[in-house]
Amino acid sequence: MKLLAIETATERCSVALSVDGEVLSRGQQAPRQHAALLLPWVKELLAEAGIRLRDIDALAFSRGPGSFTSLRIGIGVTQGLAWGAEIPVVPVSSLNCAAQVAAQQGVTHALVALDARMAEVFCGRFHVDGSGIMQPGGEERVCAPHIAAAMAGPDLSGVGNGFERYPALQNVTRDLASVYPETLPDATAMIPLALNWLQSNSALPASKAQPVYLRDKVAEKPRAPRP
Amino acid sequence: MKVLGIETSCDETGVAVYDSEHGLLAHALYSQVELHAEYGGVVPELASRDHVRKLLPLIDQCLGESGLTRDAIDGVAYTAGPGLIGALLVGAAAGRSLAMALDIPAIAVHHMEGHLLAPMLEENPPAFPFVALLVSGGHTMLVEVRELGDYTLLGETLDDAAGEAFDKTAKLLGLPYPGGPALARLAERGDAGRFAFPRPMTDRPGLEFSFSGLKTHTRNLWLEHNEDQSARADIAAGFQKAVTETLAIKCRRAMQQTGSGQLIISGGVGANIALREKLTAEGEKHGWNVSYPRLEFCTDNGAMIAFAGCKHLLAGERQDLEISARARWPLDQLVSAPRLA
Repeated sequence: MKLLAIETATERCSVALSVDGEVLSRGQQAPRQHAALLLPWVKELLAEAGIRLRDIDALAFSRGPGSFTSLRIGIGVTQGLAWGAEIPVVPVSSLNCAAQVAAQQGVTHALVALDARMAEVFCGRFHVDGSGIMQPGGEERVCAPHIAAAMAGPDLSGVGNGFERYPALQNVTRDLASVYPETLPDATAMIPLALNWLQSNSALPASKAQPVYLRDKVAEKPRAPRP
Repeated sequence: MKVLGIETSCDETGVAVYDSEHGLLAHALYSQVELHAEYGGVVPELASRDHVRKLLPLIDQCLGESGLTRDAIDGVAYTAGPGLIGALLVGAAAGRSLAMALDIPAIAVHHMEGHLLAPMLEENPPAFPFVALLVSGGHTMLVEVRELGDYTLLGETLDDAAGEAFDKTAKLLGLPYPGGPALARLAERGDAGRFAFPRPMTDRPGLEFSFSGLKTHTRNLWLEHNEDQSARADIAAGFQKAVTETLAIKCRRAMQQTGSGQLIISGGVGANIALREKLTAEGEKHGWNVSYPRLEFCTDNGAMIAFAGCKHLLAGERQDLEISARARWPLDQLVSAPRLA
């Protein structure tokens, strides 16, 4: 199985290529650099693995939630690569992905909170299953930090930059088992999630590579036309 | 060479396939006008969201209409600016990536260059060199086009674009968004001679434009006469005549200054019938040839991007793997520095 994964939901940008279990990757903090980094990285990884894009079985993409613009850069790249090379796509949640990164650090129950700007966080709860895969434990949502903080509990680990950027979440640190404020979604953690997804779903056509924004109210309609 | 063109700089998703041997093979457009109408203007985030939904279905549609398989495409051209950065990035990311996937070259196209060359998609295309008047909701400029890539900005607007002045004037007259075409329809019923309007910047030499004063003049007239229903159409007619005559005066100067015999008109306002009639008459009077793109290629479209991209690809130009998009991109940074008038 050959999987390519692209993660662009936050200021971290990353790409991973898994060829029969061997994982090659690139990733770095890259505010406003996603558009410059992604394709050269994909090319490098394919060259290192000695395969062509068309040899890939599925392309996993970060469907969000996250920064709208960087998310769409990753999804635009996914659409282009998948359409051009006729590869199906697999959606992966950025919150689930961050939880999976934390699982690699030993976390079993995660409360993920990623900074959503505008004094809100994208948040969700996840727990690890018997195969080491983080499974969602409820709906993902965009909400005020204090609402996410109310979900804290002694069996949960806090994951994501929401825990360093908002006082309401910093304040619940002592109510949590541990906190990983620097953990962000990364493409390497998308590989097990995508493989898990493919066990019970068929990969999708390129046009289904679409973002999940969670925040849908992005503009105010004028109240009444001026006379 | 068969080139796939992608345009996502504002509120239209445009896709086309242009063949250097057989011309335009297919084009498809999805306009978001209705989406933004409720907001009274383009909402950039909503525009980006719509592009990401519509782009691949349009590419599929276009390819189907052209009768080509994806492997028959020889190059990809995408609009890299100027425009809304989030919207541009959708088309740029997908366009650059699908070129990589197909192992074919890609080229980043300047949106205004697409408009400049759009009349060359028509039968009996204008030949280089020519003078181009680009008039849209975002731009008003006169450009001297000597050959592909050799463009000199002769003059542009100092404030509002002509299309923007149309839209804002329509709004203050209470017309629905987007107001430009509605204003033009209203003007047909009006008496352009009832109210006096200035012809801005025509009392001094130069090829610059200014339309914000005209808009203010119109607002004051409307405040004075808004009880009078016939005044609305008369103001619309007077405003439109002032804009078209001002554009015509500047075109005449540009033609004299450059000695050119070929004028082309492009951009959304180029679809305005009164402007076409006025400039066609000017052309007949002064012996210039005047060319326009078909009405649907006056506004944003993928065909002009495929065409411009094809010309650059044939000239050997190539884009690297960086996905380039620029919100601001002066036309003269693409090309030679402006020549002093």
